Amino acid sequence: MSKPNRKLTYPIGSVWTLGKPAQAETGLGKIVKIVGKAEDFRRVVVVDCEHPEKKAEVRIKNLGNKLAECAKGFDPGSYKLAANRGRITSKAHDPAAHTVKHLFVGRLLEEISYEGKKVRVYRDGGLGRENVLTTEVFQALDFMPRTLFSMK
Amino acid sequence: MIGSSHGSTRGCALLKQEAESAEFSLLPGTHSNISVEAKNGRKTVQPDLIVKTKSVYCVVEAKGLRRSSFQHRQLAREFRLAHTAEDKIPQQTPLLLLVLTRPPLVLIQGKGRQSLETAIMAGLREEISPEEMSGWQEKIRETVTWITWSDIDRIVQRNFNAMNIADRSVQASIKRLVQSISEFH
Repeated sequence: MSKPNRKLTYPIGSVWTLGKPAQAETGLGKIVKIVGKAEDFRRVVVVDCEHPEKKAEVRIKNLGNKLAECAKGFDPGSYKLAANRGRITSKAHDPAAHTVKHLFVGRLLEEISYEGKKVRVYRDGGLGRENVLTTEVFQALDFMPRTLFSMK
Repeated sequence: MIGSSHGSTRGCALLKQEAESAEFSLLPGTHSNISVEAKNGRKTVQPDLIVKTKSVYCVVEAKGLRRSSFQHRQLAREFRLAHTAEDKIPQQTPLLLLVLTRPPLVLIQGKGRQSLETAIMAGLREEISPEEMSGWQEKIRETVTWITWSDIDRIVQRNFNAMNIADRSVQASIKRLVQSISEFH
């Protein structure tokens, strides 16, 4: 028997983000799980992932990003942590915490991603190119024991 | 490294003093909309790095090892960004640090080689009105500094050689960082 070539977009059990107006209207949180279909094909029944007792019908167009195909094993807490990570800039009281993930290599990749066809020039590893050079050198300077170096 | 750059002595001394707590923000223009006010509206600026401490707001512009030039208003915009950035707080001293392949004069697109002061002043004249021009020339001397890639390598290497680190693993870790700088230029 051949496999179906279409996948359901909004299957029961999948996890989604919910838009802010719909959150305000229904009292649900940002992350919801589809638990059933409604009579109106434009709507689905969802529950709040963090407070499963909260249930409501929402319009499909108010669902945002699909976070998981299946709620089993999905941790809303870790999703929030990942979403917030990009916004963390520094912790002023802790000098060791000033370097955050994706500060260097991630940013470089992001910058290169805008270069279109020109991206091929990086096939030699970007040797001598200012973005790559700046990343390599300043990342090393950032990681060095700065006080130790500034005393000499 | 910053203590050995050429130019603004006050800004560099402050940055050196507060180096341990400096925050590095690479290619910040990609995410945030960094801009400066110009005659014909706000202009986007994309510096290579911004380094912030309690007392210093340092914009870093680096040039690659291949033949590369500055756009003719780029230095003026980055210089003004160091002074007028929206996220700069009043107690932060502005600083523009240029990392170059060789000492100035610098190559400006369509203008040939110019001194940093000439290049920045020419850009400022195109960007701001004549009434606002006073005082900037002095600020260039006070807040612009430069260093070369080979200076950085030499200074880091010299400092490392002068260190006496008892723990061999810590020494090896720092050596790897030092080598990563040498290998890339």
